[in-house]
Parts: sequence; structure tokens; C-alpha cells
Amino acid sequence: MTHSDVGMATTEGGEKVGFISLGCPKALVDSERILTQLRIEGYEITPHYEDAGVVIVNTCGFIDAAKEESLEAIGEAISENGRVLVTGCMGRGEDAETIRTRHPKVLGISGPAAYEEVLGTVREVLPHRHQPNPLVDLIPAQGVKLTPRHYAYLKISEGCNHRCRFCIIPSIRGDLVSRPIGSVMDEAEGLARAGVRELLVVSQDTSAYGVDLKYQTDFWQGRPLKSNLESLASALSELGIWVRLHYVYPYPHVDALIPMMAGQAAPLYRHAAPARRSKRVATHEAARSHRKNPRSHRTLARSMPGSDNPLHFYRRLPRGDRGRVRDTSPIYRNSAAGSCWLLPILGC
Amino acid sequence: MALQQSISASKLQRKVGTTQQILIDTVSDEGSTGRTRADAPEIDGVVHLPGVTEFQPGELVEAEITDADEYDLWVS
Repeated sequence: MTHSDVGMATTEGGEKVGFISLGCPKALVDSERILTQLRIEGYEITPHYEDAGVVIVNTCGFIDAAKEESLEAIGEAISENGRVLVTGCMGRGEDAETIRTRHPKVLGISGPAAYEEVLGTVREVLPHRHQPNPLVDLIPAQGVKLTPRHYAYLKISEGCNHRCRFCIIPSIRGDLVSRPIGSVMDEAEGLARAGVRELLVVSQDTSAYGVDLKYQTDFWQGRPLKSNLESLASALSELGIWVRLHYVYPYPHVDALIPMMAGQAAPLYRHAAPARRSKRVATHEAARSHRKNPRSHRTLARSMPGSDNPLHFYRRLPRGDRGRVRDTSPIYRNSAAGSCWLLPILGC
Repeated sequence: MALQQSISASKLQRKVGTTQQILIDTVSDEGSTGRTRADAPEIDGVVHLPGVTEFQPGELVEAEITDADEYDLWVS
């Protein structure tokens, strides 16, 4: 294999990596970030086991069924390809030991959001000989996405400060670490400019956004904004696209979102997450008074291949027209306590 | 799940006859699918628009809901 020169127009591609992304939307964002960095470094992504120099499996460790699925995915990758890196929520502690025992041939195991570690191991086991050429190795400005082009996930924080007895998340993802609002809004703005029509705001605890930063003021478009949920919702509404807030727990300050959604269907939630029953009922009543439709949701998302369809708006609704009742862009609140409380009810 | 299904069915029935904004997700020769404002991708139900082929994924359209089942809505 010849070494390609940056100055030459070359048809030779880079080393190829396969990727299996399991788990929730937060894990999907981790997969997107890893894939973006791989592409920046000149690696290509392939959907075929036989073409991949290494296969990365981003695992889910949330419930036993998810762990079993992850272990099976690793097993399949080993038998179909043989060179496998494991990362994600099973990549730490006891679960990592389980993987080592069941699949000793795995080339490396790392925990969730361990981007640097994954990249480092890929560079070791699959040194790339292709120099990235910005003229041909095009990566979209918003990064590699695993969703169709018209919607995108936006992760605003990592981890959770609660210690709900039924939930494993804090022991996997750690305490809450919020992104400053300027960084989130810059990314959101870039996505909107790239043609995304629906932003899916995700985290482990969206309502708690900013508390670890003491809601510090950050800047977006030169304007000061507090890093809290209300400011974030308000700023996102300026983008003129659908904004869907996931994982919103019924803390009292969340009521401030309801007037922003006046006139929309506002999904609600009832679950055993932090909040006494009286508070949840009060939130429900407040929403009813704005004529909302309560809904409960469950989140267990998988990765999706990207769509190649270009966006042609030849009969779109004009951005300023969002209907009679509201004067801000729509903000919808879907909330789910991950999958925890709904699983017994849904029989999973 | 059976109880949830019947609750979902009656809530969706209330949308029949209303006009909804729909974000188009997929388009094929047979028609389109999309989601209303209340539908999160891969979590909630979808809107079926059989025979509607003139849009592209990502377009926002308004249409009247004509039918509903336990999880999905129809525009026909």
C-alpha cells in the first residue's frame, strides 16, 4: 500500500473502521463524536465487517437485557471481523470484567465518553497511512451524525447528581457536568444553519442543567446568558426550528417552561424520580390549565444511518409562521426517566 | 401495555379532525411518514401520509388528521 501524499489527488482511501452504536441518545452522541474525530484523522467508516480494519462497539449497560445485547454484538463482531474495541457504559468496573472473561480477544475496553482513549487505541491497532486531505476528506461542519439530516441530538450535560436507588447511571456516568450555554448554543446554531429542523436536547437530567456551574453566565452571539434551562429553552427558540427537550424532571423551576409552550401539546411525566407526588400533580394541573395533553415517554433509542437526502424546501412553512397562538418558536417537552420506571409497565 | 394502548388510542382519536404541523421523515413511491410536534423520533408514533410523494424529508407541512389507531395518525 503506497503512502498517499497530501498534495496529490489520490483515490486511495484511509484505513476503515466499523462502528456499532448501542444504547440511548446520549451514547449516540458519544458515537457521533468518536466518528467525527476518526473522520478528521482520515479514517473511513464502513458498514461491512469484511472491510473494517477494526470494529468499535459502543455498549449499553443500563439493564440486563441491554448488557446481553451488547455482549452478543461484541461476539458477532469478533466472529465476523476479529479486531474489536469496546467502549461505552459497559466499559468500566464489573461489566468490563465480564467482557474480558467472555470475549478475551477484545483489543481494548474503555468507559463511556472516553473519546481520547478510543482514538488512541485505534491509532495503535490500526495506524492510518492516509494523510487527511481537506480537499477530498469532507466532513460536515456540524460533525458526523447518526441521524437523518433533518434532526440531530444535542447533549447539554453529562452525568447525574441524584442517587436514585433503582438507577445505575451515576455510577457509570458520574456526577453532573454541564456544558456552558455559549458552547451549547453555538453548536445548536451551527446545526440549524446546516439544515437541521428538529433539535433533540438530551442529557441524564435536563432539568438540572447548569446547577454544577452555579448557572454561570456565558456568552452567545455576544449576549450574556445564564447557563440554566429557562435561558437555554428561550435561546433555542430563537433558532426557528423544533426544539424537543428530553429528560426533564419536575423540579419547581421547570414550570417556567410551560408559558413558553402555551398552545402546544406538552407531554408530561409521572415517575419515581426526584419530586414528591404533590409536586408532580401540581405541575400536571398547571399544564392542564394551559390546555396541554399529558403524555409519558420511554427512551431507548438506537443509532440510525444518516440520510443522504438534501433538504429542498419548496413548500415549507415560513419560519416566522408558527401558528396563531404562539409568538415564539415551538418548544416541546418530552421527558422520560431514561427507561427506568416505565420498563415494568411496558413489560420490557 | 394493553391499558396504555387503550389510553393512547383515545388520546390519538381526539386528534382526528385537527390540523397538525408535521415534520416529514421519509418519502417513498407509496407515500410519506412524519411526526407531529408531540412525537419524538424512535419513541412516539408517526403520521402516515399514503400517496403523498411531493415532499422531502425535513419539510414542515400542515395537514388535517383523518384517522388514528393506538399509536399512529393518518392523513389521507
